Amino acid sequence: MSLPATRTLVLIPCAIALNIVLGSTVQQVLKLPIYLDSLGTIVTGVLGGPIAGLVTGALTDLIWAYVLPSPLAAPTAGPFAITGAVIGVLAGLWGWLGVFRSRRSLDPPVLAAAAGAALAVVLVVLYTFTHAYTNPASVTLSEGVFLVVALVYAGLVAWALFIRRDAGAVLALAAGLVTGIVAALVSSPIAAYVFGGVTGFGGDAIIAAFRFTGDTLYQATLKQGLLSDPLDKMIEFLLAFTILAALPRRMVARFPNGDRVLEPIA
Amino acid sequence: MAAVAGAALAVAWGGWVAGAVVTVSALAALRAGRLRRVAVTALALTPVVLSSLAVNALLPAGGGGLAGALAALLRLLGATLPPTVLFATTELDDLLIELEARGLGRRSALVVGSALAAVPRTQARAVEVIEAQRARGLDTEGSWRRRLRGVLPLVAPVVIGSLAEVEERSLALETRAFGAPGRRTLLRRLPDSRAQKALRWVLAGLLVAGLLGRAVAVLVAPR
Repeated sequence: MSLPATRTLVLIPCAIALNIVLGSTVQQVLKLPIYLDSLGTIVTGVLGGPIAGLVTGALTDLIWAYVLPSPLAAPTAGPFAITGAVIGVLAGLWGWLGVFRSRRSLDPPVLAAAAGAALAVVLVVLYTFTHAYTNPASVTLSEGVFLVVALVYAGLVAWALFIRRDAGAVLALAAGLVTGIVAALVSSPIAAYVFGGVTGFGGDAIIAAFRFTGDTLYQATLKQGLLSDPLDKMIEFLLAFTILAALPRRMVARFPNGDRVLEPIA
Repeated sequence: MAAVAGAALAVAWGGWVAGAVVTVSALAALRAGRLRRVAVTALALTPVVLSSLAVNALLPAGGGGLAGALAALLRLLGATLPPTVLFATTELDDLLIELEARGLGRRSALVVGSALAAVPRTQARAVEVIEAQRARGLDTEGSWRRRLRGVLPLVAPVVIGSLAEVEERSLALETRAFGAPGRRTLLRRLPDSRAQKALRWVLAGLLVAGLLGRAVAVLVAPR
């Protein structure tokens, strides 16, 4: 494996700082139910490759939990370094596959292909959700939120296709949804085993509610994760896509995987 | 080494092993005069502790009840305290220099050190962006729809600012032969005694044995 480029090595710490600052300060200002703590990981994965993304994701949580001095530190974040690493690897994969490339053509075939990919993802998501929420009591509890996730997804896809006319945004959204599901699958066992389902974030009440309807600890954390992670990752992926599309070409091109993000000229 | 072994063993075994790890960490912190900082971190976990106890006390017995909650908490403390003690007692610079001397490479040392230094800078930039956007009419107190519209205007400038910083710094590093091959001579080394070396080997052995034992116990347990 060749040595990582200097640029990637400089990107990683800046991305770690981005994760921490966006995830704490900006998130507190906006007070929305999204974490916003993976944007640095996503951008690093897309621009620097899966390994860079992995390092960023893992180190963010480790530094946030153990090394940062007190006002900013979040000691409960440490064990979730695994999730961060997974998100970074996936982002690198999507970036390498060209998912984050801006595709501003209006050709019907391109738009149709994008819509098709989006639909495929929705089917996968439906499959996962119906298999996770088998307990009838908790299904009614979560149907509302699941509907919100689906509506937000549909709304964002429509915006991407019709207002921005950028098929790439749809792919980024779909990738975000899938990544969110994977992230939920990875982090719920951690939340259950290391924390007993109580991490100090807002989701604890939801986990408790699920357990009250009779779920085991692992089921409850999984369900809560599936409610919050896909929404959050979808939004973050779209944000990353929008920002990358707005950057000057020269800045993007200098990164190792930058050529996978830039659209061909002409 | 001690931090990793302690944290991993605490999570794997739980129960009294975790309790022992917590005690050792506390003692180490006391000896180094850093008990206050470690206690602050432990206190930061208090909301978690309280809600965990509340949740588990109120739920039907299926979730393992109070005993299960306490066990999980002990694991959590055992996993959190050793790394905290490590970083509270070791100057980060010394740690990085020592790792680099043992062959980790100056690049990795740069990454961790820069990340820490970058956080206050990025924080200041984020605050500037927030205030600037608020002055231009961005709504952060209104309905969730308006706040959602505020995400991109707040996030994008911070990210782009960071990327611009990456650009500048990598240029600066490249002109200073950062990427050049060859080892560097180090100015400062930490003292290391034979007792410390021996202790490290013992801890490594304990870690391997502990994890293997736990794995065996789990696999052999009657269904």
